[in-house]
Amino acid sequence: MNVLGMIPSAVILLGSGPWLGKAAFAGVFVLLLVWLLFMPARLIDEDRGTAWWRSARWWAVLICSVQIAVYLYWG
Amino acid sequence: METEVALTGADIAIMLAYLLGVVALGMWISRGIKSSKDFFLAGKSLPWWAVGMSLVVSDIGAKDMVGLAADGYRWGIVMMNYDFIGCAFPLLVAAFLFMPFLWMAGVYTIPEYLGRRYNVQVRTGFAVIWTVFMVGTLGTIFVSAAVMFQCLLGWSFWFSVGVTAVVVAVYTTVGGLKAVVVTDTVSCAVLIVGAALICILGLNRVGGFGGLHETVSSLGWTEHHFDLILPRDHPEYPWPAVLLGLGFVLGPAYWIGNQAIVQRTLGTKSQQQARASYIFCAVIKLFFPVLLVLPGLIALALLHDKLGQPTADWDKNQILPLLVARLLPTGVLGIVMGAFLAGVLSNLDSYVNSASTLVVTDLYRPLAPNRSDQHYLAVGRWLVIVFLLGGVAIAYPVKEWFGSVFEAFQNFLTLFQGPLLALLLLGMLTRFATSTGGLVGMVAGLASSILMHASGMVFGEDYDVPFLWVAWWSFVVALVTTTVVSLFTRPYDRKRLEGLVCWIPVSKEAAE
Repeated sequence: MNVLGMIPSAVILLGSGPWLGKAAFAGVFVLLLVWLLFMPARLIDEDRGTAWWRSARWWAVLICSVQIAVYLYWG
Repeated sequence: METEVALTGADIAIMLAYLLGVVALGMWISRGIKSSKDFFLAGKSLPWWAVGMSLVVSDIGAKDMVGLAADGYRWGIVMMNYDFIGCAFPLLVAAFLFMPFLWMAGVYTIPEYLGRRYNVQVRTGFAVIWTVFMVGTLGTIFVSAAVMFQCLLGWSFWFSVGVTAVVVAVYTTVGGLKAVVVTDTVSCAVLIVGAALICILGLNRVGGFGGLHETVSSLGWTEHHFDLILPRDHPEYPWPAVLLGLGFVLGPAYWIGNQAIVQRTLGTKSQQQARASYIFCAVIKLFFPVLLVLPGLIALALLHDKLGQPTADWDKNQILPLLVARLLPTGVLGIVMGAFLAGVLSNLDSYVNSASTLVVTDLYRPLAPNRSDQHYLAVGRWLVIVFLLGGVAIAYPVKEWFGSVFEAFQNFLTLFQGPLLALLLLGMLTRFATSTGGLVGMVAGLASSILMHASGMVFGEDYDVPFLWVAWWSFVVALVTTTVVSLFTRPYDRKRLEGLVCWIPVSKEAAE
């Protein structure tokens, strides 16, 4: 690995361990999940009464959850 | 490569039915094309589900089927990251933050947005780069098509390229974006069926997932083939580079800033439909990594005696054709070849339509303003032909210069995706980014990526920078440069930024 790869690797990998990559990838989707869950409904033009199968937020949360499971299992 | 399987009459009939069906559908759709808005944005009439499926096949085409199978053979399931962290993450962020905003801005192209937000130089700069990139991409798509046809049908390189170019030209020239999106929905379904057939028959042959794992793991050089995250000192896909370069730069730049991708979303009926199309695409994309990378692992299990361990001069593009030839019975082969054709056509029509839109909107219209709408429509149609000819012309050099067509596509992308994303993010999310800052940031980011790409050639292999790091560092250079220069130059006032920054909506007076 050359210097351009070493700098961010070193920054990210303080306290390096095999679990860190898995945690980083799953963590990105966890943060996205939190953002999706707490986003105000008015920002996405969805009423509280929107059926789950028509809710963009519901489908986005499902995709995030699948991705977290994938990275935790195969990471 | 030798042709290993002769197509039966049934195979050929399936392929021909698909080809003629697509052309007929595209021609039928073209009846409603009356204006340039109909041609370039489908009159803003596209439904979310059609756009979602079109997004999938605009991203995944023949080059991905050939390229990802080859890289799956060589590197394993790490290649699935292109569709996981590289797609799902940016698709969701774009769906809720950027796409509804771009739809509201009422632009035709991404450079058009950059021109309004920064200045005409930034607009023209990125329009020219995109144009060159799209011609290169068309070349890579033609190559992947020709490789498959050569191997399976025995067609010559130029005959394969010619046939695909003519078919796409027929319906894209007359039907515009609407024909592209409608034919893409059919292609998406055919592609899924074809890719699934390869996986199901392949897994059946190797003894299921258990048998595949056992065979591949026993080879000696495949210790990470079933790891999604590779060690940080891996020569090609160290996980920090995958996370930063692919997840945070290439993926978002592709799904937020790629004209061929964004254009169909701008053609939806409403903001909500634009968002829904991206989410539908993300749902479908959950399955595609398996469908595209698994054939590479199946090929490794079945063909490792013949193909061996990859070396520097290894012909990667032969993996999928050889697997298809070895695996599929006649009859099924026709469906899979139809899927491959679907990938070729949908990829080609998307890029050629977007290239035409981009040149007319960002390069031609500013040079020749105040012409009639019919004039711009005619120019757009002629440009479809010009771009297809450009793609045909560059196909052979692409084949000669690059070992893998997928690698070629990624190399093209990394040259400018980092700087593009930096300017888009700063432009859409901040008030302080200025016209001068954007221009200097663009130039600095592009210069840095060119330098990094060239360092291996100039200073030797020890200084080769993996393309994912090029993407990340050119993004950082453009981001920092634009920020610093903007802080020392005069920012636009709030009124000038209405509708151009996410947090500054268009005022009621302006909207009226």
